[in-house]
Amino acid sequence: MLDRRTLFAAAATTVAGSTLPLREAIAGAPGDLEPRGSVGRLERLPLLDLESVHDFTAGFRTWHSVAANQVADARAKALFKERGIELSAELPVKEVLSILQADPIVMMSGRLWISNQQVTWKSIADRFHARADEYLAEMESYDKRGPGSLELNPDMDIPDYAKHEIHIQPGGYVGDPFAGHLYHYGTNSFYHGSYDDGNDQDQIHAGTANRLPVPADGKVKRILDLGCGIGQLAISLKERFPDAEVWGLDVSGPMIRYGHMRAVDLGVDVNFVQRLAEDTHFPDNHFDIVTSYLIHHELPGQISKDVLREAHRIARPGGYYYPVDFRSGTASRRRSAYGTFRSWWDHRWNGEIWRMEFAALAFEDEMEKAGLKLNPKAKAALRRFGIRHGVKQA
Amino acid sequence: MATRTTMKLDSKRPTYASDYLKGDSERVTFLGNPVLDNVITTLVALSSEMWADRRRDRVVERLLAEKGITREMIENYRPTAEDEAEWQEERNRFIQATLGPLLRESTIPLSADYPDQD
Repeated sequence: MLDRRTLFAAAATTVAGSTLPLREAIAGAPGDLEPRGSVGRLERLPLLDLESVHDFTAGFRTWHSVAANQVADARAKALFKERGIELSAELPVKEVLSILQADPIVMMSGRLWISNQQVTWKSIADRFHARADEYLAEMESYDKRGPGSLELNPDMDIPDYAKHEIHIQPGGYVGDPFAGHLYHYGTNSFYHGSYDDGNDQDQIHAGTANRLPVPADGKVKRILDLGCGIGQLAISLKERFPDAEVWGLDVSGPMIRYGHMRAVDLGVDVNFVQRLAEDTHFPDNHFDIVTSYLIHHELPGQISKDVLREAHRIARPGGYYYPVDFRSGTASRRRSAYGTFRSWWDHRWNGEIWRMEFAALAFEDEMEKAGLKLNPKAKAALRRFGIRHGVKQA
Repeated sequence: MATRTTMKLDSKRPTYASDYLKGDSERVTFLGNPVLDNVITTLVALSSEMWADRRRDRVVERLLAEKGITREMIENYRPTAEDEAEWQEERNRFIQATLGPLLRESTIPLSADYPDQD
């Protein structure tokens, strides 16, 4: 990665929904590989052509989400109409597939999306894999450096549910030493097409952190982000609550290793630990705020419930758990014939193995069962996602 | 279905990576003919490479418009906000021009009669 002393630029990048200045990074630390500098807080990809391929795949994603999806959606609706099927009908997956799988337009949309995803991952992976030793050495040079800390557990028994290639990212989150690198550059493009200004400056995570509520008593001494990945939300939480002790926990060593390197570069004090979200090893009643960002739909239903119980255990009375994730159960937007197909497709071909299981889960009910009382006046921490401010009762 | 495997890279340093479950999305056929599926991926990859060349050209042009040219200068050129806006507009047109035809609704069978002229 690249260096970074921290600086609060006077003319800091503005963040949608945020009043916070973003920290920027400056090149120069020993061991830091940053051949092309940074743009704000995003280290530029190491080659101009790689950056351009990535620019293409991000643009492609925007184009696909509008043009290709519109054509496929219209075609699917026409096919349902021809058969006298209401668009809101909830059909079994096999029946929906029997209607759509022979249609070249609907299938082309899926083909294009997968192909672009494959080009995205391969282009980034090829670069870091070709210079694996160099980039591993860079991460080594950060492992014991602060601010913040990094706890890796190489002997950890990683459960199989976490070993899938989510979003068809090669190696998934645990199998590639550069999973953090791939995830960072690969998923930033996910926000193009859905959120106008993307996420290159962590603006989605900063906005999410800024919209999270403060406990009623105003006390915020300790914060934990479960399934923190590369730490974008944990870092943003530390920036919002600079006096709090902030922890990021994830099952993946490579992801938190990259996250720690990045936090050091940004000069943000976050403690990263490689542990399971359903078994955090933190004391009871320890955290004022517990968060997670899009992890529950990547978990089997039972593990998701286990995480809710664990979050309740480690949150202190009056504190809360706010799991940011897709709507599910009766609140799911995908309850239609074509929605069924899209969810199934995501599950089957995009590596979202547990997506349908989560969509069927009455998640808010499960939060209540875990002892987390939902605040009916809460606002969405992330636009278009579920509102889930679960307060631990005294 | 998923296959348990391990990633091997050319380094003896600790990686903190584990085994993983490799999916089968690389082998899916959407279009009824795996060759056609492969052609689509080739087109997307080719298009991305073409765009990379074009974007590089733009960098070179900008640099030429200023002073001398060195490789380092090209590699480290920072697009302005105006550059990005202009280039992204061109990129989006490029995507539509090259890949838009794939969305053509070619649903009339080869054996269909010529439409009536009434």
